[in-house]
Amino acid sequence: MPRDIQSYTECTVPGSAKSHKNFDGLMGIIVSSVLHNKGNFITAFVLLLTTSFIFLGCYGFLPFYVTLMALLPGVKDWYFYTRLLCVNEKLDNCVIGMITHEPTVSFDGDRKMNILPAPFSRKECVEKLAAHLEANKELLADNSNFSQPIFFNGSAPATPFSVSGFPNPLDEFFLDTADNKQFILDELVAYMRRLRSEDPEDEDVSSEMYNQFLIGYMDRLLSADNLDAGGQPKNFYEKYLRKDASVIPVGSALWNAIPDDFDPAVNWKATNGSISPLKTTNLYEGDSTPRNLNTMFRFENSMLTPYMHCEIDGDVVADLVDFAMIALTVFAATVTLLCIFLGPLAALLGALGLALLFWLLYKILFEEVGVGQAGEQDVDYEDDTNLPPNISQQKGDTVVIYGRWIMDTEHNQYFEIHPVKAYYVVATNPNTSAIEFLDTHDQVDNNGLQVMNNTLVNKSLADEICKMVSSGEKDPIPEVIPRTTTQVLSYGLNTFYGGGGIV
Amino acid sequence: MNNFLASLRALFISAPLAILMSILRLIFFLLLLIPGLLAKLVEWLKWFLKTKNLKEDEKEKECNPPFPEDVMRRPDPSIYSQHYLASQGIAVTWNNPDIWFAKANTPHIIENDSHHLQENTDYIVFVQVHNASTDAAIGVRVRLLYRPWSFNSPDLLPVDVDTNGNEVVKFVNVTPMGAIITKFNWRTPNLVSGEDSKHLCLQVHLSHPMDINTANNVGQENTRVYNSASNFVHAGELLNFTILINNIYNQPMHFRFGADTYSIKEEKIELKLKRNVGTERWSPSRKIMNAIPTIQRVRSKGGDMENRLVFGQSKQRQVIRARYIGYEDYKDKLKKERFPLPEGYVFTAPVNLELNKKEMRDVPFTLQVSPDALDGQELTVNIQATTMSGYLMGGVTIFLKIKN
Repeated sequence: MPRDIQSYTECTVPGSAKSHKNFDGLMGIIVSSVLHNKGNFITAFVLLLTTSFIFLGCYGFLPFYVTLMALLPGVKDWYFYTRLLCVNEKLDNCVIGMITHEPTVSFDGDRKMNILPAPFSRKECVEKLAAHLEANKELLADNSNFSQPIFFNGSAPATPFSVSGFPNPLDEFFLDTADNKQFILDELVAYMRRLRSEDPEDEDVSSEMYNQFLIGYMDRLLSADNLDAGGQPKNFYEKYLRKDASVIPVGSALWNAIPDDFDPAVNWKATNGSISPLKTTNLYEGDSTPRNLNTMFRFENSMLTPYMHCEIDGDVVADLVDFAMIALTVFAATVTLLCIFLGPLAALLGALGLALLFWLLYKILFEEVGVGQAGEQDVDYEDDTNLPPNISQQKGDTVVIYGRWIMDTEHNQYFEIHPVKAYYVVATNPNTSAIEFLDTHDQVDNNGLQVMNNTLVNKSLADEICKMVSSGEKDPIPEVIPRTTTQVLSYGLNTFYGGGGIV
Repeated sequence: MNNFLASLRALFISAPLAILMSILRLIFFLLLLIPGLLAKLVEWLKWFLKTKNLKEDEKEKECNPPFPEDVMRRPDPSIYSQHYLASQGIAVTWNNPDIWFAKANTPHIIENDSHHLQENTDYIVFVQVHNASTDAAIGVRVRLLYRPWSFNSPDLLPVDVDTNGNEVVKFVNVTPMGAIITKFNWRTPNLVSGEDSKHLCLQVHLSHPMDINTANNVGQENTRVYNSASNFVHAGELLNFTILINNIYNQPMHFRFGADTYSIKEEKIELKLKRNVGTERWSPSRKIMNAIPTIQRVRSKGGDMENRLVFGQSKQRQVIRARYIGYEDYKDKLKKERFPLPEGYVFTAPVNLELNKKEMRDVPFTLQVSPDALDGQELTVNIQATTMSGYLMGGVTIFLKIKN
């Protein structure tokens, strides 16, 4: 039945979507200064503030107040309405996959979850990673590929092959003992962290060689000759992991609005071939510096799997910005008035005291459990019979997620499902919270019974499921349906309320 | 130039609007402050009187809080389930309307019933899976098992196995309030030397991790596998048969037996959608403070985004759930109806049979066919075993065809 979960963000069209590095006007000047010249910005700010108080006396804070009040609504607008790029707003977007990380509620109130799209299993992801590592051993050990300042200083990070006890080649990995497997996995995780490295000023940025490596790795997973047990290609969810020309026309506004994430001129699966010289500008970096390719998927280092990020909206940022504007108004009014009558020191102390009191009142009056957060709501139903118990998400669950497909202009531009509008749990992991290296055959051997999992999904099943989900979410359901007594007996002569939606 | 114009726009349009809005919000905040604080004080007092504790008990913060219900989907895969219906006081049959057969070499010819199956023959078993929810049921697991003819023998075996000897299960997707048919392959067992026929019970097990009602997930179908013996009875004949019963409890139990002639009569029923509206629970203080206005971006009728002054930062959310109802009268009618054996038919069973804990026993029964039974007459007899408190242990359905 049609139901539209309340969402706070809207996605926007190519040309309108922007990251915080694309701000124009006064905000753009400030952000640009902060990002590129923090020291000079702080100096300029202090100078301006001092000059303002010298020449304007007690009214010295007012220009800053007006400036901030000019900027804050823009921040709110940007955060909720132009930060996300619509990739396919009008058509149904559905992805089947395995939850790779327990969901978290972030500072902005969004509920975040990560899924490994079908039909890939964790086992295959690690196998392909190991294969890609072996194929690119020399490339990854070549210091000349690691001259990216901040991340590397001309020195390749130690590869796992240089670690004592690490098998070379990795072919025997899955035949090894459990202890050795864990050792190998731990080394792979540690290596991927070293390869990613980090920029202390921006935790979202990863090293170029890491991106190059992952692009080649993803090419292995999505290769047309990577077939399932039924001989079907596994790349039916390519569009969520890589810019797909069969879905987004090349050269279209949308194509151009998404950073380049692949170079078809490179044979990525070749020995030491996981590198491309291609550099293009990234619209969301705020400058026209050519940059290396940027992956549209994310990679969970701890699990050694790629994933697609999904979010349910929260509106904490809106509350914060609104509150900040009131608090600023109170502060500005107080500091100005008290300064006129009592002098600057008393004004500052009084204004700070009042701001503290205001913050306290806000906490008392506005902070209830779940306000602004995409969490479970206390809901009173007209009929509280036949209601299901609360359920939590679990790592390892196989799920169908339905929602809007977007590209986040922040965090180095990734595809996401945001907001999630419907969530269907299809199977739970038989090994509780651990995601073991299980595929269908192993699960049958270990558990004696098949469970639904990523590897059982092929394109036709994915299409069938998504069509059913989309219809269930959008089509109106009839007020009256004809049935027979046989059918209602099969229901058990009892029905329960299904999942909810918003009026 | 663009930056300059944008800066001017921000300073001379956005800033005054934002300042005005903040002043308005501040005024409302101050006006609502006293009532809001009073309401909060009352809430605290109520909580204190309830818990008798000045400090809230320390609770470990949930690392994985419940998932928002308005996003979670709850299917209800179902099949004709004898135990579930019987627990509601409804008469049942083991001629399951959701399970039927066809020979594998003639898959389009459906067997009239499951009581004339041939031994050592490949059959296709059709299983119909329903979904009694307004949410789609994705990935419902269907198992098909069989066991010796009994009330509840514990020996369950898969009907279909793969080349590795593992049970074959099926996964199906069912639309909201829909149904789907899946198939299993079954080679009927050989009869042992001297055996005319063998009774077997097929059992379907449905499972789904989000199933909103797991009680309607197991359905049974009685079958009878023949060599070439006739299955007719004649008027006045005394039928003797034994049925295995298993005491599943860890203590001695008493059982009783009954027989009826219930069979499903197909009638039309209209189901109506019933909505259940849930309103987000807000404390009085929250309702008061929510009156503070804000500017929200909303989509106009023309589709454009526009700024609008709204009173109420958030809306008290309403969540709708739905289900179909309309079977209640039929259910009440069925509960009151009785289906006794026709005159002249006599069913004899042990009275108050006692079994030791975990004991299995073949129980003898007789059924006297009426001496006045007419040639060609057909009769369905359901025999149930229940505990003394009325819990259904199991049952069988016998088909009789009179040939004088």
